[in-house]
Amino acid sequence: MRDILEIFQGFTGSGFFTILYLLTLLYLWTAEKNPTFRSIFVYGASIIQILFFLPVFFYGYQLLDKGTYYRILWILPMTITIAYATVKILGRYPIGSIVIGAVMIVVCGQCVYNNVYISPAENVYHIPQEAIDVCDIIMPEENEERVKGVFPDDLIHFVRQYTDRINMAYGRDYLAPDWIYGDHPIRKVMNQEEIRISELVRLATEEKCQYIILEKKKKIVGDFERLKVFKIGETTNYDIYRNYQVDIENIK
Amino acid sequence: MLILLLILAPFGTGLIINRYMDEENRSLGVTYVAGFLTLLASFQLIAVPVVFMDPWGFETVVDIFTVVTTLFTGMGIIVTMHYWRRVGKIFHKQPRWMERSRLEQVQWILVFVLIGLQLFMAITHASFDGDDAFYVVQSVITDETNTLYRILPYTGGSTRLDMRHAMAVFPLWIAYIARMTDIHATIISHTVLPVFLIPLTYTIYYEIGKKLFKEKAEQLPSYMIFVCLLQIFGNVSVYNNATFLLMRTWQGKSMLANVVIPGIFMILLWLFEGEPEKRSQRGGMWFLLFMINIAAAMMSTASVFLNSFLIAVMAVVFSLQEKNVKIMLKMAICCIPCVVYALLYVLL
Repeated sequence: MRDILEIFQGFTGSGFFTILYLLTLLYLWTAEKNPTFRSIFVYGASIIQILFFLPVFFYGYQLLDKGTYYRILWILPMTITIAYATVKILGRYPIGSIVIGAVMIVVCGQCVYNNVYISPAENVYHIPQEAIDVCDIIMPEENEERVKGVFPDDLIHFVRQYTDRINMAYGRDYLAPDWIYGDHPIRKVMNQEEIRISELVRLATEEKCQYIILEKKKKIVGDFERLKVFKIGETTNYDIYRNYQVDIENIK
Repeated sequence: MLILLLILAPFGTGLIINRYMDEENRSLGVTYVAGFLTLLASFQLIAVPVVFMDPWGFETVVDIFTVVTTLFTGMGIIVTMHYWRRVGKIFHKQPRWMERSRLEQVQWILVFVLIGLQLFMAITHASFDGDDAFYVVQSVITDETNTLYRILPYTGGSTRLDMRHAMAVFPLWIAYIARMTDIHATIISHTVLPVFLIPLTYTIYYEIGKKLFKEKAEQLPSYMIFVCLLQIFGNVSVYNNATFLLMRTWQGKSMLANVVIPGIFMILLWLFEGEPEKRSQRGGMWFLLFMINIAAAMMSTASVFLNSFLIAVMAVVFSLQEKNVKIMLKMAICCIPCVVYALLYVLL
């Protein structure tokens, strides 16, 4: 039961919409006369809510799909019920109802555009421009096979959204701490405070990576050129190195 | 091409279904939504077998789906032209702008401003979501290599067919739009699709509102204002529908939460409104309920269960209320696609 409650809390966040929804649902229980609306938005929705909190139902769902139980709450018509009931309750005073309803939603809700993950787009791809700049520098020629690189965590999500012609030694599956893979050996080296070049180049060569991209702010220990690795470009925050121990093959 | 694929083709296809709805329900919005869902369902029916049979078969999907889309659109237009010549009108008459009160007009303008704001923000602002490293990249891979689910999105290495995602082919549909328009799949996902999918969601909410406020149409814009505000200020958690609509519009999960599920409520309202004996010409609606279940499977594996569950609950409620077992039977038939996809998922 605790699992279900945690999922419910995770879904409802501040709880504001849930309270609003339950209040409007309660209103519809008492005031809705239309049998079709009543069946869908009162009886149907109430049954779904009851089933959601049943442990048997929860464990049954876990057999089908783990980690997505919160999606059951998607089939509750929350938006429709809140909007419909609010208008129904305050409908006699259209201007007043809009003002009261709007103030209530704006004050108690969270504006999506204040979310930290939303920012002005830097380009039409809606990915960081610097990721595109890095990719453009290492992009293989038309007659060349795909290339492979080692990238800092900040670029991992974006490289392959820009192009499929650049492969990566490790991807997003190594970023999430709770995923099953554990840490990638190259990522371990990349995320050390001081990056040991000899170790990094050895691992990158084993993974057949032609490119190594490093954050400028990282401290580097060792000599790249002795290992046939040369800096070929840079962007504001990254240095781009070509590992000549691994050839770029031509398309046959 | 974008207008053709995302506006005209769904609308043309919807015209076929429009013919099998009762006169009162024939509107521009319903036609568009019905066509959009039917085309998505058709894409699912075409793409999934190809994914299993031909690892490099994206060209085949593109060719077949283009023919099907053209046929549906053409058929819709021809059938409707024929009907229009015979009957003289295609859609149910809607109140004209000038017939609405000043207050209603102001409220509708506010609705358009709020939706316009969301579209403006969708174009000018980027939203980061980790899942894009899988879903958007899947579209990019498919468009650039013609390969169907045999390349690991995260790294680019090769892999065997990933059953969890292979039947949810929404990223392939995005790749199709990218291929046909010659626009990069990431641009299609992040910048182009929200301009069409956000209004699609609001069209569904509008059609639902039309049923809810049938007797008091002047209250419909107030309802739409609240719907808009609940989306914009609905970012109370990372899991809820509103967050998915405006931050992950292009992902199948968002389509499930904001198009498919509201779409089912819209269909249920159409199907069961009015006295049972007065219901006529609902064949188009039942067909749409069937098709929406096929379309749902392309959004997410969970959708197969969620749709069946929602429809099953509503089937029990309506069967008991109207004391009619046939309702349960009809709804069970509409859930056959979900059962088939669930079985495929379990067996393969």
